[in-house]
Amino acid sequence: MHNRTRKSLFAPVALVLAAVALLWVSNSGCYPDYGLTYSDYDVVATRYDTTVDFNAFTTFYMPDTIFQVGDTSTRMDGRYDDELLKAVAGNFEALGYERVPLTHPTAPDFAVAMGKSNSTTYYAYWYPWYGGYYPWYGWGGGWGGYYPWYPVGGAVGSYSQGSVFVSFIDPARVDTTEKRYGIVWFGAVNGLLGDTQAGIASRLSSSVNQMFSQSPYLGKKPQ
Amino acid sequence: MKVTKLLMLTLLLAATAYAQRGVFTGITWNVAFPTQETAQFVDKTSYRGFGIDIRSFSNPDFSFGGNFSWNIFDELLRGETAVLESGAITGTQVRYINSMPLLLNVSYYPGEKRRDELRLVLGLNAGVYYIRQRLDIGVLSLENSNWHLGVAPEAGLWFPVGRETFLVATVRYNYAFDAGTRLGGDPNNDYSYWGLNVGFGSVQGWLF
Repeated sequence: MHNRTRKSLFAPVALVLAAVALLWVSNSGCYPDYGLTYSDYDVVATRYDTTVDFNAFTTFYMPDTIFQVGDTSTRMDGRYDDELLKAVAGNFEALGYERVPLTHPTAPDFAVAMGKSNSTTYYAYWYPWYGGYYPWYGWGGGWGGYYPWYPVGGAVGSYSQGSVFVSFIDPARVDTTEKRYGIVWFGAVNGLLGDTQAGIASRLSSSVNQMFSQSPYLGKKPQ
Repeated sequence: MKVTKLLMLTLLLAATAYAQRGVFTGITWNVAFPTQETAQFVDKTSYRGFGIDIRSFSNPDFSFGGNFSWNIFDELLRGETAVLESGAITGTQVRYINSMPLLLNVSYYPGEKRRDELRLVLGLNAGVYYIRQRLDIGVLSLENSNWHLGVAPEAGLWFPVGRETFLVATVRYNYAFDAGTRLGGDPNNDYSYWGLNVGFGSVQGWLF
């Protein structure tokens, strides 16, 4: 009698446990949620031309403007522009480069151009754990399209996001007939915009700094 | 008419033979430890997993059956900088692997068969693994899924806790052969992980 009871209980108990297990696994999800914050969605990507000696540059020119790129029908908020320009110029200067105006008697060695976009169709496309493969688009294009990013489709959904781009341009490598714009280093920051104003400003600042700290080949090395 | 009678007789014999066999059903909590290439993507132990196991005993030494299981591997990497050939990328990464093997099983039960004694189980599983790999970084999400052929040798112990009920503990090495490409284009897309499966099962019908 005792065994019969145990036997008859196994099937329903097993079924309940199976259902609980299935619910637990599927509810905690194929993709468990980590409760990420805004800053967890920030991505900083850099790329450079490995044939370039960045120590050979001394002076640079940088306009006081961040250009709107990609979809220009909706312009990105400009309230962070001054801080961004200051942060980027400051990082280049901290690396030993000298910022000069266009009126400088000798032409600058390189130019720094900044762009921004709130388009949902410009993302970096990379595979961070597989070192040997780096399928970025090559250099080339023009304003509004020359960034080495390309659309990968609606992975973002309805999130409001923004991107900031920084380009290190070597005038000696510009060849407009070949559509080469001399970009020898490129940095990009992408993130969500739903944060507080202070939060966005702080994230932008640390992302710009990260852009430079992950590019140790940049800079004027002491003689 | 003759054919119908023959068919009914065959079905009756098959049903009788089946009824005389022992049928084991079990459910387990599956903990999984990624190895090799799998561990390069997600290194963390998976505690999210379960398995369902059904076996039919043709004699007390051997059983044939099948099982389904599901393990979710996931790992959060904050502030991770990946240095690439000509650049670098920094961001919080969330990596996932969902592995769902559907396997046939043959098992051997060595030693004496006494109802109240611990039983050793040696088995081999073979079948298909449905594996989904996903990477979230920033607002970007990349996903890849493939069906793989796979094998999984296993060794386990059954502890009798009643006339028909056992606590089961099994160690299984899962290997899903290369199929498709990994996220990022790596053509070597095999997966492997150790599984520690604990749970309980029940045998209905003749076994000893």
